[in-house]
Amino acid sequence: MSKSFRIEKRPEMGLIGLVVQAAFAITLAFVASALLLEVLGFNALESFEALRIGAIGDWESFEGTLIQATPLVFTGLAAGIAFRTRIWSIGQEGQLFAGAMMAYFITTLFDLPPFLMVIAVILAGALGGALMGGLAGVLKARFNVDVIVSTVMLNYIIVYLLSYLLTSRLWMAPGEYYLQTAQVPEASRLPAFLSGTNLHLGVGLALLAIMIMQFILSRTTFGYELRAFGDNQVAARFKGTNPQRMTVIVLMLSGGLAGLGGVAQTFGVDFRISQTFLFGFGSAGIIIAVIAGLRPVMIGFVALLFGGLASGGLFMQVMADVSSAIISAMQAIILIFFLGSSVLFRYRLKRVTSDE
Amino acid sequence: MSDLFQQTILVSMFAAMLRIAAPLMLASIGELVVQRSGIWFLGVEGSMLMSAFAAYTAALSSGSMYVGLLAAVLTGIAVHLSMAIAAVTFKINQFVTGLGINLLASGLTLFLYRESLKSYGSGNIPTVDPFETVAIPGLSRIPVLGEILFDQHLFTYFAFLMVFVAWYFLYRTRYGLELRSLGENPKALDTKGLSVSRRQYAALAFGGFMAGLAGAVLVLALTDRFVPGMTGGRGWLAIVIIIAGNWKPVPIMLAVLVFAFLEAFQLQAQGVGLQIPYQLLLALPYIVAIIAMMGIRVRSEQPAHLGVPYHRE
Repeated sequence: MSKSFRIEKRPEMGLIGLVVQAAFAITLAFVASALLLEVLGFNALESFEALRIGAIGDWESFEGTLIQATPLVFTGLAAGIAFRTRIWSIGQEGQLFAGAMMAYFITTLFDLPPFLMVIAVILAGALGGALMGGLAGVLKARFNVDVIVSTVMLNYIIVYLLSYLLTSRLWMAPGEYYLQTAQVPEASRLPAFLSGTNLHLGVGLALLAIMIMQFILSRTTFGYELRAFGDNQVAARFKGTNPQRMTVIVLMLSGGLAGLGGVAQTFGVDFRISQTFLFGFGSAGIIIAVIAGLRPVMIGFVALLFGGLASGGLFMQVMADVSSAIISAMQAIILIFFLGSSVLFRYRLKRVTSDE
Repeated sequence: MSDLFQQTILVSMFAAMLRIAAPLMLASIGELVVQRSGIWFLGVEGSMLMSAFAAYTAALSSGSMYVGLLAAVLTGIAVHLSMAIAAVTFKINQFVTGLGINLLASGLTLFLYRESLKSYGSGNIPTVDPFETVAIPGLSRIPVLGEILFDQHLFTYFAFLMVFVAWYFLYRTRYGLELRSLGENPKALDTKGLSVSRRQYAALAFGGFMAGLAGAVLVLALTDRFVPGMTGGRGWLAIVIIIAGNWKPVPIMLAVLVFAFLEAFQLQAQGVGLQIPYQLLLALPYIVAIIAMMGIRVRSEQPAHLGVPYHRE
């Protein structure tokens, strides 16, 4: 397996280079999206102004941005930790669903006082995601099923499972017309994180998750082992890292994070599960992780930007009549420009090092 | 239930299987050539989806199905060539690029579709006039087999033909041999003075042509309109199929038929009113994909340099 040699050779980009590259890509993506809007007959400046107002126009809209960013932080961290170890998991979306579904499931099983119920829901969400991720891990470790393939397939499978639980009416309220679960009980809903705001506990958990992941990666032996495994699996194996075990652990950790994202969205915002409510957080998380250079703190900032896009996009749809689907297109355009500009930035680095 | 009734059901199910197999087969054979050249392209799904959208839009606005077909093929080629620029020329991470193409495709087509709906007016989603099946004179008259095999879309005949063309090309021509060694040992080719990147570009262009056709089939033959996300994982299944078929054309064809059968069975089971949750039937291809991957012991034909960018020293 000589796949990682190329990455080793390339000097790792510093934080400043990364920020510049990300800013460059985001600017270009906005220009490209503006062109797209103009071609379709929209006034791009007015549309983006609506986007800005919707995202950061006042404190209330900024709260909306923070709340939108929360599940994205979790899926971003989930993708980040997997990609760091060069485990190409695309399963964040399915794991987010699994987390939300597991947490919903336990609310149908028993009642607890509010405080305990919230803890139970959070733990169940992490567990649901971790089991879903762990499944892909075991499939890889025991049966050598490519993680990319298994995670993509599991993403489809879990959505069909949800669809079954809804259409069979196992999880639907009697008389409900839309395909969505009944509302979750009051006691299970995430309480306010800061009193006097709309911010729910999930926002605080997201901040905590960023700090914990940053700490694990930069300050612990496990984090060191993780990074070493990602850089060079063969060398890591010689140092005593068991690749099978590592794969399962990383995917469970990654899945658990994504599952928490599902809890934050379902028990902090929607209070019920539907297929459309949870759609798209996984793919956005992947883009966020890549643009953030897989660094936890950067993932937080990029998730905030993407949260703003999502939150502002809804406002833009109302004000400028631009379909909010433009946001998922813009996110992907940002990724494409980021990848493209990596060449530009890479060449600049090369000129310094390989000048003969 | 009469025998005749059962026979009718079976005939229509197997005929549907072959119809459904066409886009999967086209995409898989295209991706086979791409992977044999050493490029690990995960964007088949996105390439198909954009092609399907292009087919729909072009067919509607021109009123010609052939313009739709052409637009789809050109779109597929363009998307695949963007991968060539990224992966071959600039050596950007192939996994992330392929994924990016998929995300761009799903976001962009959803947005453009929603915007185009506005111009059509609500409730009036226009449809195309899909290509009819072409019965082969004489052969289609054979009872049962003729009805299954020889009353299909031209795309289906073409897809099966391409399996054998791909086999002949890979194993019986010099270019095919070069392509195979490209995925195994690009340096050997390079030292002989043969261009690695030109061949990889060509392989991706072919893959784009096939993915474009696959996208066109979805809109212009199997249904009559575009639906966001209508590829439904077929591009990913193509990748599973290639692994399951051990990077060989004929085993790949068999794997395609298995997945096409599952889908045809699901359609038929829904029609007959079988008492199984339909979601289980819909999820079956993905479940089978995982189980199939668990059972695979032979990956002998996997190109050794799959996904590894070639750097000249």
